[in-house]
Formats: sequence, structure tokens, C-alpha cells
Amino acid sequence: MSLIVRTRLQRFRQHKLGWASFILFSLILVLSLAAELIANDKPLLVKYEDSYYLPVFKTYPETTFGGVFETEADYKDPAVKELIDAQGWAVWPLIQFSYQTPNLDLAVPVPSPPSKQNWLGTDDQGRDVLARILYGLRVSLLFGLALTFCSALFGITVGAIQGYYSGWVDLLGQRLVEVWNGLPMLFMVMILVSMFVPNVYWLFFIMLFFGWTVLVGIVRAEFLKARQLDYVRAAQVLGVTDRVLIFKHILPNVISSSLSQLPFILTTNISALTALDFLGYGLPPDAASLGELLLQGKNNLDATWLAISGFFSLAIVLSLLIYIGEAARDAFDPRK
Amino acid sequence: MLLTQENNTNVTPALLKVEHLSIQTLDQKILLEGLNLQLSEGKTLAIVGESGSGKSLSCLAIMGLLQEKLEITGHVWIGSQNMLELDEKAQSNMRGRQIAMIFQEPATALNPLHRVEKIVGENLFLLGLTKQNVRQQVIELLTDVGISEPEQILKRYPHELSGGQRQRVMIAMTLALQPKILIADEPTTALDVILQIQILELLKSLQSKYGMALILISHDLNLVRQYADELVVLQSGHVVEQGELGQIFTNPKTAYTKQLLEHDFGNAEPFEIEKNILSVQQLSVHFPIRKGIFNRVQGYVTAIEDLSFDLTQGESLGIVGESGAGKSSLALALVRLIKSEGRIIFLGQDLNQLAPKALRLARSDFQLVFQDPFGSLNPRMTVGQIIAEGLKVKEVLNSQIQEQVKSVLKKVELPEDFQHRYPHELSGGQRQRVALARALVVQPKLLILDEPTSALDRTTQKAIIKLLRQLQKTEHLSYIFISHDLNIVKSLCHKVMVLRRAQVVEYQETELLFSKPKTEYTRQLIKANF
Repeated sequence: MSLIVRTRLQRFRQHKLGWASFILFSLILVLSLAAELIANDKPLLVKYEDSYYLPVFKTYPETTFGGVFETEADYKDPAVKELIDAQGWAVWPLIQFSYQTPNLDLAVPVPSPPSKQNWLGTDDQGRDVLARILYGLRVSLLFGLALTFCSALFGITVGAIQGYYSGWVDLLGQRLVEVWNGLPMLFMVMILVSMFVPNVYWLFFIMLFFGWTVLVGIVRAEFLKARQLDYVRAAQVLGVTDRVLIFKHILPNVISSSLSQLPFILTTNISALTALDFLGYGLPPDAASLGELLLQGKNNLDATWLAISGFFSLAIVLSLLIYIGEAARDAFDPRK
Repeated sequence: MLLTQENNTNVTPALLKVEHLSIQTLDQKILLEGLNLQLSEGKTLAIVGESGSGKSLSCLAIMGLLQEKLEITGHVWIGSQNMLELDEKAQSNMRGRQIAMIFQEPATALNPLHRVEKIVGENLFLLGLTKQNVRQQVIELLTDVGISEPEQILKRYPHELSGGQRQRVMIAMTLALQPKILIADEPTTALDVILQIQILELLKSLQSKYGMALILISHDLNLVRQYADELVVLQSGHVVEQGELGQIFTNPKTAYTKQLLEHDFGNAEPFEIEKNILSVQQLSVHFPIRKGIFNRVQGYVTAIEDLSFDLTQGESLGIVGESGAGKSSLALALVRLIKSEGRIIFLGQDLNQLAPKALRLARSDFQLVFQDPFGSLNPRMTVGQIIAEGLKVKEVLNSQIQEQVKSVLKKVELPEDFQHRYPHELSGGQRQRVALARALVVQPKLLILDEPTSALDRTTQKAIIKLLRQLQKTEHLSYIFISHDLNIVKSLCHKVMVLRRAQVVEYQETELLFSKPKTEYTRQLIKANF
């Protein structure tokens, strides 16, 4: 690791709020990635007649546990539970619901308020809210990260070409980007999504199609500036090729300023996805998502726990990202 | 000390009295130690030293403008008050009325959003004068500082003024409240030589008119020679020599002062006339002025017009002129970093006709060394990588690269293990040596040096020049040496070309140029330099 990277990392860690946010955000990301192990309607480990089973990772027919049906065992079924308990035991995850499992034992009408069983209550289809938040965060975060990464890659490439070659290339590119930025992304996505069958991949490509321009301006400006730096000129005088010049001498200058922007772009992407889900133009209807939770909150105003948990999970994640972004921006500030 | 003894017998009371002024950082690093000085009305004191010797720091301390993170001990008596013990409000009352300061860089010291009238008159407004009165006084002040049409200048913004005018406006600004003590912190460093003299003359005449005491800070001992009465020589925070100026000049006590005084670098080494390597014919550089949304070219700024010269192997050509004369544009045009018209015939090829690929292959024969050694080295690469870059372009084998890097480091008098260091670990002079090594390692025939010593202090300058002369002899290199310092040009170059406003003013043998300058402009330049 070079000295510059090390000092930047050190500066990032010195930013207490940012560093704490970063740890917390990583924790949330890891937890949501391991959502199956935390919230699931299948036990983590089953011991039945001297053999061990891992239902989370593998499907077993009910007959394995001495049941009647050859379909996958429904571990929440009292009959199956009894069978397993008679011949062994089962270890359950912390939350005994997956994002799609309705709680069938409820004595009250859905949506039900928070209880010992459903810590944040259930939604209007009896599904556990906490489980849905956990799975929904995973989709949001992964989707947002992938989208951010891809749009950064596109943006840096286009910005680099514009800034390095300047002149007409830059002029045309700049006008194109300006027009592109002027398009109302949300509405364009809504129109396009309604033309296709909504699925995650289509949504991803459509959002990327309208979102790749975010970094172009910064990268272009940095390239225009860096081209005039003495050490870049010195390399040019030595006869270094364009490729080496771009990747070795100029790009490292650009990476730092782009990197510090990424958390903010991620924030925008997550809220955009949430907004689309809320409006019903986002992910497929049965997928767990924060926007869908907010929509349920709006549709069931008397069930305050829906809106409140939706709001807080979104607010916490977005604020964490903002603090991380601030710390990164300070850490990468070349004037320090 | 000599100075105190003298002042004891002096009748005029001291305006400023500094006693045992010391400045150190919180971790006990000493920045200035035991400065004593006394200044009375009408006297001029010069503080001279290299960059980092504590000149500016001591003056900021006297003004009470130092940041709180520094430990300051001692006394600064202005009249009967100790500046260091006053509170913020009392201090700012002293500033402007009692003591004022002119900064080095007028471009950044003037607020770009205000017009000259407001900049100069701000303090007067604060006194509660009417608008009419203020304007009257501002015009008077501007006339005093030698601005010929003050009514027109009033409405201008700082960016609409020339460098000299800006410095004059700044002086007018500090004079507004008629301070008794004026500190000028390198007031002429950002200006070219002819303007330097004018500004110093102006300060001197204003001093006698307003009866001020003047503190002149400079890194150039020869510059202050005619203007100061007393002298303090600083070296890394310590007073090396202090006393009457004439005495120090005739009889310098320390080697350091002698070094500062010496500005003759000698004459250029003779060379044998060999084959011609470079022939420049009618070279012109124009920068287009673009306007409007389609960036249509509206006109041109001429940086160089119809310039021609020849250079033989081993010969050195000096290019001199004030800032903005087109010197750097010439360097960039010669290495084809910017577009130019005309012919640049180098080793039989016209560089301006070469295709990009052929040009890239030809590049190792002519190299450029930049002015600022801090900007010309990539901070992310080690010295070894920086030097090796040109060799990689030439597709030299990896095993040989190591060896050549080592040998070139030796040539520029740097230790071999420097190749593992990063630029920020090196001093300015060392960096410039690395930049030289990078250019030398590809074995060029022609080296273009764009003010390679102007960012360095005197001692380092000297060492670099010595090295350049040595390389001239051993490597048989041709130099095109760009500088505003005629002393250095004289020591390196066989011919000199004087540029002014994109035009060649004079072009002849160095000796003839100095003994019999043809134009008034050259005469002025020589006078300002010596």
C-alpha cells in the first residue's frame, strides 16, 4: 500500500462519526447478506434419527422426517414439528419467518402490531416486517452498489475520453451529457418499465442507462486539469503513450475525487429504487423492498408500525451513507 | 550588539523595538530565535535570508498575525505598547494606523470581488468619511503610488490591472491610514526585474514623503542594497549577521552572508563549433480566443511571432525576458506540447511535420526540464520509477534499466538509494536533480530548461548551475536555457535572445550583449540585474 493510500485511510479512521458509520453500515450489509440465517421459515440445523440436516441450504422432502408428502417439508407445520421433536431436535434462526411466510398463528387480524413473535409486527398479508426489512435491505444495497459501480465505470470512461482528448470530442460529449442529465430519470424509468415485464435486471439496465452520467463532469474536469500538470507534460515529452499517460499518470488523480463521491451516488440510487418501488414501478410485487414497505404504510395508515419501521430503516441507512461520504471526502481532500 | 549601541546614542526615539523575539512550534521546533531590532523614523531595515529562514514569520509576529498554535516569547514595542500582549481588538487598532504590511503576491492579496475604490478606501469608510471625501483621498493615494490615471483605475477590478499596478494599489491600500511603520514582505518577487526597481524606488520616495520606517524583506541581498540602512541576515531562524548595511557589504563576517552576496556565476564554457542540430525558422505561436456556445475562434493572442535561430551541438542559447514575454510558450512549442507554425528542423527532421508516432520515437533526443520541481514529478512514483519511465518508452531491457538509473543518479550527484524514495521526501534542489536525471537518462542531444532554478534558493541555485555546467562539458549537450535572471544566463550560454511581448528584441553573443547592448530595453534589463 502506498503512503498516500495509508495516510488517507488513517484520516478516514480519524473521522469518528464516519468510521463508526462505516462499521455499522458494513455490519448491516453483512447481516442482510446473511438474511437466510437470521430470518427464515426453515430451521438452521435438524437432528433426526442420528443424521444431521441443513434445511436452509438443501431441500428435503417431508418423507425424510417420516411424513406423508413427497414435497418439501414445511417445518412450520405442527405435524412436521412433532415428527422432528419425537426423533431429535431442530435449531431455529432468530426470526422464524422468511420474507414471504405469512404468520398463520395470528389471533388478531392483519396487519398485526408488534408482538413477541413478530418484533416489528406484520404487514397486510401477515408477513413479518423485520424479515422483510432484512431481505429488502439486501436487495436495495446490492442493487445500489452494483448500479453505483457500473455507472461509475461508465462515467469515468466517458469523462476520461472527453477530458483527455478535449476539443470536439469534449464539446460533443459535454452537450450530450447535458441533454442526458436534463431527462427526468424517474419518469423515463417508469415509462420504460411499463413497456417491459418488470424484473430486477431490466430495472438495473434501465436505471444504469439514465444514471451513468453522474461522474462524467468531475472526471472530465480532473482530466482537463491533470493534462496541464507538469509531470504529465514531462511524461509526454518523454514520448509515453496515451494509454500509459491516462492510466498511470492521470487516472490516480481522478480516482480519489471519484471515490469520495461514491457514497453519495449510492444514496441517490437507493432512494431512487425505493421511490420506484413505492410507486409500484420497481421490483416485482412480491419481492421484499423498502419502497414496498412504505407503500404498505401509506395504505394502512392505522398500522403505524409499518410506516415507522420503513422510515427508520431507510433513514438510518441513508444517513450512515452520508456520514461515510463526508468522511471519505475529507480523507481524500488533496488540500489536507 | 552594534545596533543597540548606536541607537542608544541616537536622538530620535525608536518607533519599533523588538526584544528577544523567539517563535517555536508546540513540539519545541525553533522557527526564530532571539531577534532584536530597533527602528526609528525614516530608517529602512532589510531582513534577508533564504526561504524558510524566518523572515516572513518574524514580521507576521510583529504584526500580531501569527496563529495561536505557535509559542511566541519576547517583546514587540510599538510606541509604548507591547503588541504581543494586546488583545485582538487593540491589535487591530494598531494595524493600519501604526503598522501596515505589503504582501508578496498582490494577485491574491486583493479581494477579487471589489473595485479598486473600495479596496483602497475601505479603511477610510470605516473612519466614517463621506463618499466624496473617500474618493478624493483614494485618488490622492493612487497618484502618490504613481498610477497615472487614477480616475479610471477606481472602477477597475484587480484582475483588470497589470502586476505592477496591483502592487501599487496594494501599497496605496496600506498607506490609507498613514501608518508609521511599513513592512514590505518580498514586495517585488512576483514582478519582473524592471518593475522591481520601480516599486522599490516608489517605496523609498513614499517613505520620505510620509516619514515612515520601512522594513524590507527579501531573499535577494543585492536588491535591497541601495534601499536599506540596516541589515539583518537570517538563516534557519537565527540571526547570522546584523548591523549597518554598508559595513556588511564591504566586510561580510560569515560565509553565509558572503554566499548571499556573491551573484557572479562566471562565464560560459567555450565550445567547439560542430554540426548544426536545431534550426528554427519563422516559428509563431498563437492562442485562439474562443467565445460563444460553438467555441468559435474570435481572435488570437500572439505568444511568439516569427522567431528564428540556429543551434549547434554543444552550444547553449539563453532566452531572457519578463514574465509574459513568451519564453515558456517557446519551450512548449519546441517540444511540440503546444501547436505552432513555422519549421523546427531538428537533426534533419521538421518536428512540426512529424506524425504522432514518429514524433514519439524522436522525443528522446530533445528533453524539457520544468521550472517547478514540486509539480514536475509524479507524487505517486518513486524516484527510480520516474527516471526509468523514459527508458521503458525506449524499450530498454529491464536488466539494463537498473544500471542506467544508477549511473544517471551518480551523474546528477545523488546517492543511489534515492531511487526508492518518493518526491515528497526530497528537497527542492534534490527534486530538480531528479527531473534532470529523468531528462538525461534517455541521452538527449538538446536539453530545454525552463527557468530550472527560479523556484530554488540561492545556494541550491548555485549547485544546480555548477552541475549544469559540468554536464555541458561531459555530455556535450546543447542547452536552450530560459530564465529571467541574466546572471545565470551569462554563466551558461554562448548566445542570448531577449524576448519582449512575443517579439525578439535582441539576439547576439553573450559577451557582446552584456558589453554593448543594442536596445534600451536590454540595457534596462542588465541594469536591473546587476
